[in-house]
Amino acid sequence: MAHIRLPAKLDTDSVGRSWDRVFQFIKAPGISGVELDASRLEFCDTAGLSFLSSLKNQAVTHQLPMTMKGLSGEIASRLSTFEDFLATERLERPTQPSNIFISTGKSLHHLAKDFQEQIMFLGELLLHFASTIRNPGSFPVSEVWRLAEKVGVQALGIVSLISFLIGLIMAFQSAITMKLFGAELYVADLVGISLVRELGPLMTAILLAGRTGAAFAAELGTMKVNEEIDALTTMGLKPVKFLVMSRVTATVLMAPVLTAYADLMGLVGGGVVFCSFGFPLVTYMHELDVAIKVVDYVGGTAKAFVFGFLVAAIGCLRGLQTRNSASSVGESTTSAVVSGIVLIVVADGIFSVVYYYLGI
Amino acid sequence: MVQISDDNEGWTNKPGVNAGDVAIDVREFTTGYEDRVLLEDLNFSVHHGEIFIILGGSGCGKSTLLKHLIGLYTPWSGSIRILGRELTQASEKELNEIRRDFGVMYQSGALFGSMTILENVCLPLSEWTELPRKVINDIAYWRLSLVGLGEFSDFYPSEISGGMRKRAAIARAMALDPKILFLDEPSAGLDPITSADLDELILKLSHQLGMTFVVVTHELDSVFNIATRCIMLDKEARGIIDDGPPLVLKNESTHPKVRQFFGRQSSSRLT
Repeated sequence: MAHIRLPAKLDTDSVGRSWDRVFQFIKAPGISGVELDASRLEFCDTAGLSFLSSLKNQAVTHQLPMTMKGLSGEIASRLSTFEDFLATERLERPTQPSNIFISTGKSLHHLAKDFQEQIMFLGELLLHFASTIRNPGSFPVSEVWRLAEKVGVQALGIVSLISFLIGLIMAFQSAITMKLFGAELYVADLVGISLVRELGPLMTAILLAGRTGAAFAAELGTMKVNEEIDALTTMGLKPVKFLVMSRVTATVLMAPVLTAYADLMGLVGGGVVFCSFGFPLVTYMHELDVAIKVVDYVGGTAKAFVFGFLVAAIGCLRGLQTRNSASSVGESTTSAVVSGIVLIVVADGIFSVVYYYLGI
Repeated sequence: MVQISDDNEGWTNKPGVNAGDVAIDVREFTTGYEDRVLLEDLNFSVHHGEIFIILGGSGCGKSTLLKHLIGLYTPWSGSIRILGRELTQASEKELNEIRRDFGVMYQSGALFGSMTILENVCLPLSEWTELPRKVINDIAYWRLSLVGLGEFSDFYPSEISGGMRKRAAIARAMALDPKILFLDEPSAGLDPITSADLDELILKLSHQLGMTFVVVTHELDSVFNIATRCIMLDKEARGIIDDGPPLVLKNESTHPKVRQFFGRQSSSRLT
């Protein structure tokens, strides 16, 4: 016979600590029944009720006769209510059947819907820009200046560091191969062309996606959760016109400026390595002058405009798509960065094809 | 023979809970923001089983007082004793032990959006107890059923209404069988029917489980429905201007601001 003596207080602490010990004890070989002494028991919380109920169930499962003595009427009544509750069928949310076809269909539907929303958003944005051109007085110039400072000036530090290091790394990496052919002189050409045409705009856009796109999504997402977007709508103001246009304009204006700055810092990084090979600075400058054409810079700047637009627009769109919870703000922010980078790479691919056929 | 011990380090002096005992004792309590005194030399007690309401106009320090009572803020001076244990001098470990004896429902519900409401209620149980997972789920589900949300246990907070979120927040606050429940503006933003349902729930929990409630509210209907005792705070007095059952305050208080509050009069009519 297993004798179990309950304490004066059967609560989450005492039950939690003793649960395994008690249940192993009654399952031990040679146990022919359970005798529960509740004469000291004064306080029993829900965990205690759960313990007593589980003990009774275990005794039934193992066909052990169980006696309970000294249980107060009040605790016995609560135990009975708790057991009645456990006996009732638990209501669960009906789950929809799912298989690979359903989940693939849902994913495709989600993608198509997202694409449709992006097109609609783009259309609405362009319409607002068009109406602003007709009525320039309504354009929020001071807001654009404020945002331009956040997007551009405050990003100078990180752009400087990353671009300088990219130039430095490229010069070092290319020098290893160039040296084999005695062509270290052309490290300058390689660094210059790849930075101005490709890496400058690309790296700047990726930095903007991580910094600015995420910030826009989080800011607009929080406004959505706080019903500020709804307030704008009910005041008759279009969120896209009021919140998105200024952000997109500021980013589109700042992206080429940041890209030019990134190009410069990258070239400085490459120059440091180039000079460390024993070449004079004037040689580096001359090589850059010969290698980089105006059309390269124009091509890179055109990319920067488009990348800036994509990053800002997708950041704002994801912010406006936020649902009504804090976790949704996090999802929007992540999605803004991921979508932003994907769009940048896709657009860059399109640029490459177009430039190829244009002979740029 | 197996004996379950109830001796638990740090809990051996945990006082018993009897109706009428002092649950919360606030003495010479003074606090404020920066150099501005908000509440000065407050003295009051809350007894077990009471539904105690903190009343007052906007900016008088109701929510600040509540945040001191739950140990989020430290007062400038004075003492707060919860179930006989001093809160103001408690270490982080002691504070966490004291917090296990009370639950808090925040004005917005403050449910975690990434978890279902069942997972929200399970959270304190799985963090603070060594109970098996099934038992934790049973207890959490029971709590949700008590507040009438059993069938919504698998829903996320964003999928249920504001009133349901508040009830789910009460279920979470009750997860660890607290002796005291603090409710911050439970009726705020709710329609009269949902608000009355919530009042019924508070009364039910008070009667069935014998819990002590400390409620911050402006809603006079709720006050009359549920309160056993109220204190009224005032911004200018920087403290309590009256204390008693709501009907007594309404009918017998001589303080003009209390009469104004219960009479729903505008400030311009106060003479």
